[in-house]
Amino acid sequence: MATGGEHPGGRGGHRGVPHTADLRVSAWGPTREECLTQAVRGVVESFADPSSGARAPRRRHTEIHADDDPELLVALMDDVVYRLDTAGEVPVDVDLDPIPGGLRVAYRMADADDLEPVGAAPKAVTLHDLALGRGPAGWTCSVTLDV
Amino acid sequence: MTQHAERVQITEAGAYRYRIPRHGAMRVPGVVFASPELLPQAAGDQALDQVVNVAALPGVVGASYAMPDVHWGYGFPIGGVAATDVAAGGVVSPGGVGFDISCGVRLLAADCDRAEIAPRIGALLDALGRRTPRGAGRGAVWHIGRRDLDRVLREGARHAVERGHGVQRDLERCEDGGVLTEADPAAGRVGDRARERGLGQLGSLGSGNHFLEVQEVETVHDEATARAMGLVAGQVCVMIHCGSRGLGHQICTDQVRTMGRAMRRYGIEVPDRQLACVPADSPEGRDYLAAMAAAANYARANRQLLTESSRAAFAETVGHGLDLVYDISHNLAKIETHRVDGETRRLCVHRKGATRALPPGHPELPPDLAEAGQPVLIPGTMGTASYLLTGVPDGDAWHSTCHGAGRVESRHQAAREVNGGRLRAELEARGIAVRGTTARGLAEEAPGAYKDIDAVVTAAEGAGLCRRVARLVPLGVVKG
Repeated sequence: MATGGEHPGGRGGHRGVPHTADLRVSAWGPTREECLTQAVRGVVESFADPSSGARAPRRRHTEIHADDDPELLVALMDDVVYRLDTAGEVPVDVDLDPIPGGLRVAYRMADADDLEPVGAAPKAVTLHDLALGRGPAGWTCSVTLDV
Repeated sequence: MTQHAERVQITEAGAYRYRIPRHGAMRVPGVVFASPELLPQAAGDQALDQVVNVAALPGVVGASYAMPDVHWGYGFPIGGVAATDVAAGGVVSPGGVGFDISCGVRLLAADCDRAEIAPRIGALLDALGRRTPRGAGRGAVWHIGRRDLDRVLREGARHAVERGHGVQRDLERCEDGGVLTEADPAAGRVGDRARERGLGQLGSLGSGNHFLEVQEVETVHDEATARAMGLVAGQVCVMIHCGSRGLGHQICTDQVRTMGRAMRRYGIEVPDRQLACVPADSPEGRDYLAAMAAAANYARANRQLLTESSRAAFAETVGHGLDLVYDISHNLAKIETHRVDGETRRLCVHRKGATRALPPGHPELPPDLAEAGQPVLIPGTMGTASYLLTGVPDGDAWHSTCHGAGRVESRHQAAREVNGGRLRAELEARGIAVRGTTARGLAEEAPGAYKDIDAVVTAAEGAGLCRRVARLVPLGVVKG
């Protein structure tokens, strides 16, 4: 049920997982930041084609903090949903760097209206079977979004 | 006794009724209203496990109910109903309402039949498509500032009508008169992010399973009741299905987090974080109910604004008006009075993907609907049918019934199995025009991804939850 996969030049991947209620994305990578980057790509690719944006993406910078890793995944996805709803912007790519207690986030944003829509847009991040952790083969995460 | 999902034991307990006996932490049994075919079948569908989890909530009374359209949700199943006894420490759970607070359905009746609009149906659908903001992100019929947003959160559809976006009858025919007066969006209840998301979306459809349809009353099952509600056979209608948009989702997100931290103080543990809950009569519980009511007010105003844009589209293309038949929510918690074990109790009734269905004579009905009962609006799957139902005396599950068809396939599965372009062509060959959405979006909402709406309504009626008044079929669809 892969909707994404190995990102060209990257070492992680992502895929969609069936859920009758909505959109579930699993992602993996050698580092926490790569795993989270893949999760963002997986979510974006579920509702918009990031390769279809014609205009030059804008940079947006922010910091995200959370008490633990799964909460950091939720906070990052919450931020993506919030920016889509309030600014109509979609991250066509993202760079993540670790900082104490969280992440420094650099989005490359496109206007949602400039991207080819491919599915229903996410509206909320659920805590259902939420996971982000390190295993023997690297970092993995799973998150379910309400669409 | 049959096995479900290799774990949940269910037994037949009458017509369209199954029972999940109490076991483990369950405080009450589970009751599933369904035919054998409607029981959750999909591999991995955990709806019945969720019915069991809900039956363990503190203060729950009666049963943990599942409607015929039940399917897997977060925390509560979608199609779940559960009531808790407020005076006995009964809890309120945002998971029992859902993210899209006061998601619901509005039905408008045009003063014409299909033949009268047939020559202009394409232009009508174009106008509705153009005037209905939809899809991801911002988009609104009414661009408001923070002051008007605050009034909408407190006064709901009433504020929209007072500002000229509707008529008095729109309030009389909206559940609760269009406003939940217990709403309080004070800081700490409705946060900045929720407000920011709400500012740019008032009067918008959203995406996913939300839609605006032009419909025809195909069959009237009860002419007197239909007429009292404002419908006759052959009449053209507009059905609007949407909710509280990003604002409601953000309130749910924020409140689940707050409750997740608070419930330890009340000694409450739940098997699923989306079931976070606190006593309804606690500071956090009261805060949630006040914020939820504010989101519900936003949802009613949202559907009121889409009513205004639909009226404009009808006026400019076919020259006909639209009267509100009714507006009803299917994602809400309400403090209601019911008889439990012979005693009158105040209950917090959660309906998540379930619709209140008051019988004729109920004191909460407006005078002109007192004899007819509450109009219950059940949106079907795109391209199939929708229903107008009403409540019945002694209706089970705290006077609740189904809310729609109920998903059986994930969006991915539907998109893989269905060619959206072919589906659009098939719908148009049947005379159903489609505006908006992509081939993928269309495929995700294909009828095969849902239960059969006729079977759902047959089960709901057969289980004694409601009765049919009319069946409506689509003439055109504007998809979110």
